[in-house]
Amino acid sequence: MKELIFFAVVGLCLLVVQCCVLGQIFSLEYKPDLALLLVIWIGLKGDYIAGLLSVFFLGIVEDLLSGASLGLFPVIYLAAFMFSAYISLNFDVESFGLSWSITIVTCFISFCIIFAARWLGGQILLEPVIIKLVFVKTISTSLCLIFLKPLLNSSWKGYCKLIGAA
Amino acid sequence: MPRSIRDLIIAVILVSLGLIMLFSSFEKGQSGTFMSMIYSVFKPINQTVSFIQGRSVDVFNSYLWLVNVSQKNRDLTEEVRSLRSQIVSLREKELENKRLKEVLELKSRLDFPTLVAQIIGQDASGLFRTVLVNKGSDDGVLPDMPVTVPEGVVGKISRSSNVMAQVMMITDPAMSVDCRVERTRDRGLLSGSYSYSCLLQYVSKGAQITEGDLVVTSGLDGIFPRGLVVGKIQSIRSSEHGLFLEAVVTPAAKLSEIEEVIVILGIQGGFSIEPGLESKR
Repeated sequence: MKELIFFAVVGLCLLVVQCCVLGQIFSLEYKPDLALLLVIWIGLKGDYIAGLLSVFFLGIVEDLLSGASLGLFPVIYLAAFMFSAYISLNFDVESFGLSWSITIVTCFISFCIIFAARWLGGQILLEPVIIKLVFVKTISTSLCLIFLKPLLNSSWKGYCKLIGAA
Repeated sequence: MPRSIRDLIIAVILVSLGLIMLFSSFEKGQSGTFMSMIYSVFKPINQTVSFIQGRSVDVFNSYLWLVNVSQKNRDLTEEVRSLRSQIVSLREKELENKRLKEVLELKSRLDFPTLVAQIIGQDASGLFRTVLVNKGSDDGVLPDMPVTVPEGVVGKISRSSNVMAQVMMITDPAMSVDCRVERTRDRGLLSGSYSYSCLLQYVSKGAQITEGDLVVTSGLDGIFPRGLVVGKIQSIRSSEHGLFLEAVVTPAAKLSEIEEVIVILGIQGGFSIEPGLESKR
């Protein structure tokens, strides 16, 4: 339960930052997906059930706050979560290099799926600019891990201390 | 039940639920209880953050960037004098225009009921061209209603809850607007594009359109009333198969800078198309 509350509060804060603040700093093409970083962080952390549920609802909220069809982000976020959870089970993910590599791969695949879904839905045409967009979004999002990961780690530690959990 | 099996079942259920939502016609644009709940949570937060942002920009503009203020003040005073005289002249023209419209019994295109809404958030993912506004179905804002600013068309309402609504902008690739080139009256379909801001497609090959021509809504898509300015033609080329012309259009509204929009509160599902009126424009 304590994990769910933490993920929900952090998810809400990150989505508000994404909606209102990042747009003032980055242009739309470069705007990082902080919610996806949170999903990967939850997956690497290893709280499976709480992670699954919070990631699913985070996806629905992201759907409602973006132009996506309802259900697109929950599926993508669940896939990203399960991928990073699988990696964390089988490898040592404490090193920054590995977690960054996982983030880059997950972001790249997630953005590819989003554009593929839009293309399959007849909403967009496959243009060279799409590839550029995927790369740009992947780089900008994964670069944000540099400051977001320590921030999430320290917030989690502070939260655990606050509620008196181990 | 072993833990790993239980975890797997939960994952399968959630993924299936997501896929069902994605492939079903669950979403109709207008809000359900869950969507209203989410928007109700986000509206005050977004509005507060937008307010703080606006204030901080004001502080910077008012107090910190006070370079060359006295010169600017003199220039502005001069400009105000000139503008005042222009206002008097424009008022006269407006009254004359109004009288002529009444005489001709033509309904002004701005006769539609409108509502001003404030933009309180951008697309969360950044992959779609949408914005969130602080008016919802409680204020009469419903899906498919046109959204505009004085400079030109912004887009249409794609989703609405009771407190907030989402606007899909004309630059989103999923958006299409039936348009005309104002000067030549040639029709085309304007859609958003990731490569260009907007692309006017399916313009007849023989059309005499040129760069700089104004593009306006035709009113034939049943959503946008006719005659609203959409943008200007930036460049023209032949389509992929050479059957039509394509034009890159720069939106008249500065979509990244707008803070307030006007929602045209028509009948949900669009405006009635009255044959014959087209030619009277």
